[in-house]
Amino acid sequence: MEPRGRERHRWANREVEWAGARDSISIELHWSFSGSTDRTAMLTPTLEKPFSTIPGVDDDKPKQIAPRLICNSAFSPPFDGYHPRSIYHCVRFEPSILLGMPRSQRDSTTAAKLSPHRPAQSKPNGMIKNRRSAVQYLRSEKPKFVILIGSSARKSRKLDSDIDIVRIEYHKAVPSNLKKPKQAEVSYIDYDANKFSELYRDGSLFLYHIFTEGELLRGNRSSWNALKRHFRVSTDFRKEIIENRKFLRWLQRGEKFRGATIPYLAYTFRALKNLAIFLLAQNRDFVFEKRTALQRAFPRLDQKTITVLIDANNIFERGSKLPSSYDVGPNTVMYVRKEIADAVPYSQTCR
Amino acid sequence: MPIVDEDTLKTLRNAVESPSDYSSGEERNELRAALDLAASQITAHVFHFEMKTRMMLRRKLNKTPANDIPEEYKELISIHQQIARD
Repeated sequence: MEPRGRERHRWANREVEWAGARDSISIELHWSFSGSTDRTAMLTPTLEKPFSTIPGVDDDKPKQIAPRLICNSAFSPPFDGYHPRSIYHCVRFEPSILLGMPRSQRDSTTAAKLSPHRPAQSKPNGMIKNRRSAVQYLRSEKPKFVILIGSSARKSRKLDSDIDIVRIEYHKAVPSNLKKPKQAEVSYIDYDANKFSELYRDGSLFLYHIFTEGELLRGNRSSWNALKRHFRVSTDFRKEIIENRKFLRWLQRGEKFRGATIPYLAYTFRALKNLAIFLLAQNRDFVFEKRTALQRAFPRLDQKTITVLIDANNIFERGSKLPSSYDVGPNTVMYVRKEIADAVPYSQTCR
Repeated sequence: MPIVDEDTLKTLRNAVESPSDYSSGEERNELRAALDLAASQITAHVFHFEMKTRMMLRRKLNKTPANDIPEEYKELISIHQQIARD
């Protein structure tokens, strides 16, 4: 499912090195910033509670939330002045989650100007009583939210997975001087509140994805929960199914892959994955993990085909390396096309 | 054999003639794909190797100095750059 954000931009300058997940959570946070231990010392005392009691920590899944970070000195400035909760998010989800204003800057501007989160905080969710009032709330209050989605939110992130973040009502681009994780791209999907309210009203499948699998990083939690509670996902995805099927047919027609093997497979992957997700959703089966969706929607599609398509997409979109175990050429494309033709029922009608 | 396959070229031509038809939905996806596929086919033909990533592809087409592009393809590449920019 391709997000329909106003803008999807990649953040390409951050450098952070993962040291791998720890086996268990310690009572203290452990991090080391090479060349910037002063900042660590400054920040550590601000964590008043032990890690496990910070709200939102999922105590029964400790292994998934205790990565240890090694950050280079170039990364240290963004930490300066941030709220410890942001640092917590950083440790839990990766440093790329540091967004918005540092605390000192925020505090100094609060008196002069209300925070964008303020209206939501003063009326937590009282005005969101049903779907209609939720839409109205989004239009009139224009709340700001930042949500982590995708494999990072599902806690199934691999080293080369993208980190996907949805921002609502953020109109400024992410600062370009922030460093990106060494082996991951950070993708932002931005919506203004009006567009988000339209998608909310229409029961967008992508919003359903955000509400069910997303992890709120910034914004008023009670308002977010109220929005989540009153959201109703659409029951009719026939239009999207038809669109993706047509796109897939267009790709399958002729010899578009000549001289364009990897881009061709990458686009085929996107069309097929979106088709799979919408076909499943039409039958009230909501799956957003790509491999699972492809397997479930098209059980006759073999694993090799799915792997080739996913790898090609990773290569084309992120510059990942092709696994050394196989090569991709015109013969691979012909094989994949035949597999798709056999396994994907173009004429399948929606149930 | 044409540099860009006929079907891809047809999509690009239609998009130039009526851009509003390609502003959303399946047509928009088709146009995005057509641009990348055409870019790849052009680089494969002109420079004799396939670009694997979108970034490399666009960089190659946009940043290659005019002197390094064979004379007969200069116009084609500049048209592609124009479409991609618009």
